[in-house]
Amino acid sequence: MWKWDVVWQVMPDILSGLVVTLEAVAGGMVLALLLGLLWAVMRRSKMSYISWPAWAIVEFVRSTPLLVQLFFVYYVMIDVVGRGFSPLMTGILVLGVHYSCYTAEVYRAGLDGIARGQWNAAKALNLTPYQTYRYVILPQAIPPILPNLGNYLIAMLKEAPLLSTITVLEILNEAKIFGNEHYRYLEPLTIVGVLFIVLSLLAGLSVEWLRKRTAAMTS
Amino acid sequence: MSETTPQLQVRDLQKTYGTNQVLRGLNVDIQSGEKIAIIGPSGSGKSTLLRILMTLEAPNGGSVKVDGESVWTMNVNGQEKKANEAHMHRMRAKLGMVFQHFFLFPHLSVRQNLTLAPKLVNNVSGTVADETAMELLQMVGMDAKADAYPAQLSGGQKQRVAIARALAMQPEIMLFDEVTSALDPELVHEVLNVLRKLAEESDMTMLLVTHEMNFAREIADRVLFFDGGVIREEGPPSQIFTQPKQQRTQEFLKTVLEA
Repeated sequence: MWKWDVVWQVMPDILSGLVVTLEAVAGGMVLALLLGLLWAVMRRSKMSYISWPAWAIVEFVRSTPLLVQLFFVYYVMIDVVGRGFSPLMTGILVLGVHYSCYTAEVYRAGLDGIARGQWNAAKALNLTPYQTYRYVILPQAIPPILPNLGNYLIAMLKEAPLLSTITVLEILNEAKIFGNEHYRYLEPLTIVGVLFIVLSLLAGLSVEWLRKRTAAMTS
Repeated sequence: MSETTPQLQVRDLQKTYGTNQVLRGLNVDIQSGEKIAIIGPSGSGKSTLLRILMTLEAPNGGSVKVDGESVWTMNVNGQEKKANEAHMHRMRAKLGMVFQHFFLFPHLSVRQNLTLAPKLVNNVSGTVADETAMELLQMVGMDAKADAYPAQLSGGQKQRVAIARALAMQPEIMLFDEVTSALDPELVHEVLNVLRKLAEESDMTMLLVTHEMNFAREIADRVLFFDGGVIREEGPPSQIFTQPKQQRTQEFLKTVLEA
């Protein structure tokens, strides 16, 4: 049944796929963290022409499946524009935008947790809105929500194999291609599963460590 | 600026929260350097006036002028328009405010609480900001706690730091919104001592909303008695506290002084 020589044979392919997966998740997460913050801040604006678009984007993206978004951006872009982003770039963009709509909610909870008085004190000291966010509000709002943001990193990691559907040579795709070529799926797919368990556990432990740290900091 | 132009000019000020009309056409002139105590029952609009002066709330009507210049409107090509953020920013620089609940920045040390705004807003260098901060902390008796964090301080200590933080921006007018009301009784005096010193030694204009009648009597040049969203009576403390003319003032002072 289980053949170790197949394991050694497939390992280079899978490791190169793993690197691509990690690239996609890292890029997607950076985007999700930045855009999510942008949506959350925009939604707090009193001016409806700023808050409304952010609300619309978040609601729209959250109500459509990630897979549909991937197909749409990848194939429709090529159809309509004639050329699209590379598969990996498309994956990073879609993952980032998709998850930014979830991180936006996390940021929102964090921002709601800051007392009105902090804003007032900053205003009485004549800080600009940007300075207020940058130096007063965000340094207080973000540490408590780091664990929740981390949970979305884990979720994104586990959804990253969806990128195989737009031909990204990520970990699952590499395993499948090897399987198709050698008529062996057991070892490649098992390794993929094991690697995801290891990565999820590591990420979970880091989030837990973060949770303990921030709890100690905020108490 | 002639001596007769009031530093602070409030005309027909209106503020409504839902159906609750808190300010009903309030008028007051305040001269530079005056120490004003604002007293009156809760809900009479005392804090609301300070919050509007500090631009934390927008009035529903009326005007506020600081040094003769309107805060909430600006003149654009001869037309009065709603003030933009740049105008408000410039007007706000003349004022400082201390809150009932301190609102120190909990993630910053005492010293950083004092240096943040001067560095960001007034472009003061780090060394100068630090020096000023230490001088101010010394004045409020908190220099030993410069590197402590707000969570490590008592209420009275927090409030003294909050006063120093507002002073670090060198405002011309200081607004004190019930700054001793949230303190344990035994901590009130340390904050009052700081305020007393400020009132005696500085030429800043000070507006204090307070329930400390004896303190108001001691430091104020003028006492404003708020009732129902207007100033019902005003005068020097010697008159207001001993011979109030209005019946509402008499009733109010009777209740608070007997308590």
